[in-house]
Formats: sequence, C-alpha cells, structure tokens
Amino acid sequence: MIGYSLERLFHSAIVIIVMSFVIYGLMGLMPGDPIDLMISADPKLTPADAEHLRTLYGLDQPIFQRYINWLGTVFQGDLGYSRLFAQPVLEAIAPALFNTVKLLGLAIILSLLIALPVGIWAGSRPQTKTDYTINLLAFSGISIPPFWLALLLIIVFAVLLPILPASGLPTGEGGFWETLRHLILPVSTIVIASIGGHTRYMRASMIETLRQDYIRTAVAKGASPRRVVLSHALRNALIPVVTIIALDFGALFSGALITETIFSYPGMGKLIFDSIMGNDFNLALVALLFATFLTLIGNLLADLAYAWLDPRVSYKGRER
Amino acid sequence: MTAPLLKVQNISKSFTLSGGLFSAKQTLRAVNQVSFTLNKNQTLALVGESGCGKSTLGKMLALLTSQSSGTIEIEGQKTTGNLKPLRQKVQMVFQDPFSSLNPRMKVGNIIGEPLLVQGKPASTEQVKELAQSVGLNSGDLSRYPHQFSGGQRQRIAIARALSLKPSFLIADEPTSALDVSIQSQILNLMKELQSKHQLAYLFISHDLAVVSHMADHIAVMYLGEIVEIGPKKDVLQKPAHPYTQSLLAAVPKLGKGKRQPQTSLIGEPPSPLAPPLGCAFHSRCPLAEERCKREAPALKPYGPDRQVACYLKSGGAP
Amino acid sequence: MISSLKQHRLIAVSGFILLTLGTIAAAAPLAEVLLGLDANQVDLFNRFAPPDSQHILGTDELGRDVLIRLLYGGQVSLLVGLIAAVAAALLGTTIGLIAGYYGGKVDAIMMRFTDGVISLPLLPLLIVLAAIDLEKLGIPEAIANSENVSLYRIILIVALAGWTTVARLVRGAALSLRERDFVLAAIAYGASPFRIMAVHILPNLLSPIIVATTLSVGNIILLESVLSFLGLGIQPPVASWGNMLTNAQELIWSTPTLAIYPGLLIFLTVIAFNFLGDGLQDALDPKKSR
Repeated sequence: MIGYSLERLFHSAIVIIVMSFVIYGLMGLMPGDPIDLMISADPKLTPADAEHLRTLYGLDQPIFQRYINWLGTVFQGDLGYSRLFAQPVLEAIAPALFNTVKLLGLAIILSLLIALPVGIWAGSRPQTKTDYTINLLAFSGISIPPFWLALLLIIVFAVLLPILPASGLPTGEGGFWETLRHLILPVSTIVIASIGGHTRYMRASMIETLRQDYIRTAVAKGASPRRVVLSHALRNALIPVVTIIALDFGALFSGALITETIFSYPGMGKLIFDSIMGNDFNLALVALLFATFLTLIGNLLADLAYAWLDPRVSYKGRER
Repeated sequence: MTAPLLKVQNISKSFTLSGGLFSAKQTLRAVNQVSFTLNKNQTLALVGESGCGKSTLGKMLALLTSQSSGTIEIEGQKTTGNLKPLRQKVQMVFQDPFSSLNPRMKVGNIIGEPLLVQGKPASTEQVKELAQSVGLNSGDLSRYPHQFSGGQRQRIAIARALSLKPSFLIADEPTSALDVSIQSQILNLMKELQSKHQLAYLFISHDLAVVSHMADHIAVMYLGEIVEIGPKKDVLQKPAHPYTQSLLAAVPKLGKGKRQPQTSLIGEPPSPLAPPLGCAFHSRCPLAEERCKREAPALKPYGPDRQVACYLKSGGAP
Repeated sequence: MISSLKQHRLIAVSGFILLTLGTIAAAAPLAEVLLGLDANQVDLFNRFAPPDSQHILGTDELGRDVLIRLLYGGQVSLLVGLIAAVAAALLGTTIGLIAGYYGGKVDAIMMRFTDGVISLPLLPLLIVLAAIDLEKLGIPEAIANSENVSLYRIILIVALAGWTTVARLVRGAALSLRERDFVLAAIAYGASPFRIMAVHILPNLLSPIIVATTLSVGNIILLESVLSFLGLGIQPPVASWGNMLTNAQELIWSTPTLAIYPGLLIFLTVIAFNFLGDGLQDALDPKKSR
C-alpha cells in the first residue's frame, strides 16, 4: 500500500512537471506578446527599448531556459503580476478558487445526494419501467449541452418568470440568503449536467455487484431483497463509484468554466477564460497549473481511497 | 553420429513479478534446469500436474518465449538471432481449438497464412492438399472457424501447423478440450501424420491414458523440474520416482479395488514463488528422508536410457 | 429476449433520428432554393421577424433566416463531430493497439500518458489550444487566418480530447486478445508484430471500436459546440449550432427563442449518438446478452 501510494505520487509529480512545461510553452504561442503589449501601452518606447526589454525579461532565450528561469522565480514564491486584475497573481486567484470550491462543492454534494440513491434504486431493479425511465433521464442529463442548459435556466427563471437572478454573485453586500439565491441557477446547471453520469455509474456498479456469486448466495440463504441490496451489495458497489466520480474532477472543472462564464460568477473557470482571452499570460499560466494540480490531487486521492477500500487494487498489474 | 533433432540443455525460465517502482520484486521459477533430447519420428510425452511448468517448457521450445538460461538446439542450430527461418521447423498445436483459430479468418486463409508469412504463398492446390491430409473437405476452406466443431477445428489447427513442413511439433494437451469420442480420432490422425512425415512430437498432457497411447518416452515434471525420464514402458510399469508412483496410483483402474494409501498425493504442490529447499518433492513425499530436505537430488542415470532425480533410486544406492 | 428487442428498437430509433437530422441538414441548399432564401443574406429591415410562411422559424439579429442557418450549422456540427470522432478513433486505436499488444513497459508508459490526459481539466487546456496564434508556429499568415483552418483546427482539437475512450477500450481488448492462442500461433509461424496487429488483433476489435467511437461522437459534438459557443471554434459567418448560441446569449432578454433551437438540436443529436452507442454496446457485447 505504501509502495503503491509512493508510485502514484511519483506519477502525479511527473504529470504536473510535464504539464507545467507544456502549459508554459503554449502560453508562449498565444497571440500577442508581452513586450508588444507594453509598447502599445506606452507609445514612447522605441524598437531599441523593446529589444532591451526583451533581453531584460529573458525573452530572447530558448524556451527551455526561460521555463527553468520561470520555475526558479516560482520557487522563490514569485508567481508574477496579473495585468487584468492589476494585482499579484496569487491574490487574484485566491478568491476565485474559494468561489469555485463553494460552487463545485455544493453542486457535487447535491448531485451525489440525488444520484446515488436513484442509481441504487434503478440498479437493483434493472430492466423495469422505473429503470428505463431513470436511464432515459440520466442519458438526457449527460447529453444536454451545459451552456444551453444554463441559458434555458436563465430563460425560464430569470426572463420568463423573473424569480431568480441570472448572475452568480450578488452585487454589493448580499448577505447569506442573497448569496444562496444567486447560487441556485449556477449550482443547478452543474448538478443537472453531472447527475446523469453519477446515476449511471452507480446503477452500472450496482447491477454488476448484484451479479456476483456472493449476492446469489445471500439471496439463496433467504435474505430479503432489501437486505441484499443494502447490507451485501451497497458497500462493494460504492467502491468503483468513488473512483469514477473523483476521476471526473477534470470534467467537473470544465463544467465550472462554462457555468461561471455564463453566469458571470467570479470563480477559477471564468478567471482562466478571461485571462486567456485578455492575454494575461502570468495569470493564465498559474491559474491553469493550479487547476491541473488540483485535479491531479483529486485523482490521486481517489486512487488511494480506492486502493484502501479495495485491497486487491494495489496488486493489480502485478499478477502477470 | 548426427545431431539429434532437438537438444535441450539446462534450460530454465523464471518470471519476474514486478510490483513497479517502489515495490519488491518476486521471482517465479517456472522451469528449472531441464535437459533432454528428442529424435525424429519420436514422441516425448511431458507429464505433470497443472502449474508444473510443462506449458512454459512447450512455449520455450515453440520459440514463443525465450529461456532465461540454457540452450535449445534444433537440428544443430541454436535458437538465437533471427528466429524466422527456424520457426518453420517447430510448430505448435494448442489445447483450446476455440481460441487457437482467428474467428475473423476463413479456414483456407488460416491454413495458408504460415506459408504466406514465410514468404512462399501457398497455392489453392497446396491448401486443399493440406486440408485433405487432416480429413477436411475442400469446401470447408471458405468457411469460418465458428462453423466447425471442436474436433474439426483441431484438424484445422493441425493443418496449419503442418503447412510449413516442420520436423517437430509441440502439442499442448491437444485433445483435453475435446469430447472423449473425438479425442481418439485426433490422436490417431496425429500418429498417422507422424509416420507419414517422420515428425517428432513433444506431447504435453496430464492424461496418462492418452500418454500411454502416444508416447515413446515420458518425462515427468514436478515444480519446473524433470524428476524422471525414460522409455514409456519402464516409466509406466516400473515408476522409479515417488512422484511418478503417486501419479500412476492416482489413476483409477477398473477392477483393482482401493488405491494404495502410502503413494497417494497429499496437499497441493508448493508455490513456485517459494520452492522448498532440497528436493522439490520432499514436502509431499511419503518416503522423504533428512537429506531430501537439505539437498536437491540431480537427475542421474537409472537403468538403460532412463534417469531419475531421487536419492532413494540413484544417488542413494551405490 | 425482451431486453434485446428493446436494444434493437433503441438502435433503430436513434439511428433513424440521426439519419433524418443528417438528411435534412444536407438538404440545406435545397431548402434555400425552395424558400427563396440565402443563409448569409443580411436583412437589417427584417430583424427578429416572427415565424411566417417564408421564414419558418423567423429571423435572427441580422435578419438571416434561422431555419436555414440551423440546417447549415447542422452540416458543420455533424461533419466536424463525425470527422473528429473518426480521427480520434484512429489515434485511440493506434495507441490502444500498440499498448495492448506489446504490454509491459510500453503499455505502462502509454497508459500512464492516457490516464494523465484523462485526468486533466480538458476544457481550459483546449481553450488555450484554440487560442494559439498559428503564425507563431511558423504557419504563414494567409493560411493561418483562412476560414478552413478554423475548421481543421477545431477538428484536431476535439479529436485530441476524444481519443482516450477508444484507446482504453482497444487496449483492454488487445491485451486479452494477445493472450489468445491464435496470436501465439501466428508468432510461432513467424508473423511480424505489424501483421499480427493488423490481421489478427484489429479485425477482432471492430465491435469495441465501433461502440467507443459512437459513444465519443456525442461528447465530441458537445465539445465542439462549447468551444464554438465560447467563440473559439467555428467562426462566423459560418454557422454552427454552437456559435449560433453565442449571439443568442446576448439576446436572451429580448428574443429568448433564438437560444432554443440550436441547443435543442445539439441535445437531440448527442442523445441519439449516446443511445446508439449504448444500444450497440449491449448488442455487440456477448457478456451482456442475457
């Protein structure tokens, strides 16, 4: 188990190092150029000044050298300055991160609270009318374009029957209830978009578990269907679901980006989108890395939780 | 004196079960220091419980996996470097005819593929001839494997193996997946083909009845080692190694009453991950002595053309 | 039996919906002629027109016919989705096949890579890819800014995101196929690794590949529409269902109906592909046949 944890940690570290280089490289390919931006901001700069600045910022060096230099400054605690927010990158990211955690946390809890019981219910009576209906609804949830869903919710609840705000955060001091009221539509969007997937995972895992021999034994012993599902199958059926759901962090974050952008909710997703669109390279770079890092941590924890819950896992792949 | 068709010297195979970067490695010793020779038109049967390494040995000889140490010589040629020409001399027939034929290929293509791969594409006539030599109709060639029964599939597999005119055929339990009524047909076909093409067989089996029908020589394997090897009659009628004796005693015989209790096998074979010190068989041997627990006996001559690895039989008696 | 009948009905219904959508979208030029309209004809005197006999679904903020633009948008969205799904399937199949056939270290490295890609927050990274300045990659300006390049680029980008499903499925299946005796037999008579993969493994993988590709078309269409919606995919004036929603968002307070149709069509297409994939999976998977 310790060997397995170390191994997974090592792989995650490799991914984050590789990704930091890839993202750094991609940032260099974005339209515009920091020096050009400075020139447009200050027309008095001559081409010679620009050349001087280029050398000063090390932009004339090869990409790998620049990456190493950048890493050096990062490890000194200097993440750079955001042009868009006119404040240090970290100070721009912190509140956005908090907002996203709030949004996604609320959404995922709600989604699981609904999806898991529904999935268990459908999975324990497969091929019935109930199951087909739930499956159809789950498929609809997976297939609905999240941005369209957000627009629909705005149309219905903010335009047609104006009972909810169409933006994600109250202007000014909102107070708790006002904040919550503003969160309803963005949270609902993410919940509806992810609930289908969660339900289907749970349902599939339940069906698979109920096929196992030890379940048949329990049935043959005369355990009631309710008991079979709740005390024999549930725990084992939940194990794979834990992982799959945690592995969905990346997808969940993509959903947050869309939702936050449409509802003008100042979270990480909107921050990343705005910084890319606004040529704020420092901010985009760090925010993207942050998002990648957090997703990887989520995956790592999921893997470890899985290995802890299911002792067979850490031996997998070792059988051959 | 010409070189034997197949000469195997001290070959071993171990697998490393690696747990990855940060976990301890384990070594599984599947085959340990096996030596024997085989001449043309002869059948050597390899006998042993499942997991004793006989299939791994077969795969090494079919050049499907390389040996960890030791040498294999086929018609005097070592199995190193470019194996492709050498592969024409050794072919294999597998246990499960439902797994050994590509379900998406027509039978004609299956039989003709080895020649195609070896750069001498078979004519339709050649393929037909091959099919007929194993008792298939030429009409069968345009059908798919799933349209055939197990026995017919095994005929297809044999035709494919013979297409390259090998001198040596490895048959890994070729009849154990078949109905008993079909088994003898396939065995007889194999015998007929053997005398027709002067083939040498390595016949892997755990079915002693089949072995006694097919073999000229028998090698008994236990935990990756050959514990006894010799002519069929000697081994079956006067088994020397205690393990061979228990294997033979385990075969139910009509009209013989109860089995002899002292030779029946107790328990499971030890794990090849942690083979016992000394003689591999000592943990289950009814006759084991102190010495057997400390040192492993080597395979020593025991009568003409016969070898046994047991202190009680060879090294023990002067 | 009942369930397999239901599966077949599911395949038939979703296939029928997709064929109908495809046919109608393909008939866009015909509809233009019949209605006497032009998809890109701007008519500022006739903005936000309500539905009538000529403009069956009304007009948009530039007075263009909504129905015709939906049909042309459908062509683009379906075509991009299908081409990208096929590209993703080719990439995924190659990677999965090599990983599964060679196994061991090759497999470990390739699957770590795949897992790494799966675990990334894809959308933000794809946005970066979509925003890259092609001129900085040394592509001449004339080509970098042409209309077709935005099409190729979006296909490439969504294909990059979509190959992992196929790769994992193919790898798993290849891993078990390579242990089959007919593969061992092929090695024993000297077939090359390429021949074994192409002749013995790939043909036996067709059903998982078809299933995985069908299932990924839905996701790929969704992704294309998101990127186009965010202004990073198909660029106007070329219509796609995604970019039609971009403008609709701004007009949501005045003309909410404009936001309904494109999204509904994306939804319908994606759900049909998902059902088709699910149905095919059950129909082609012998394990699930009971």
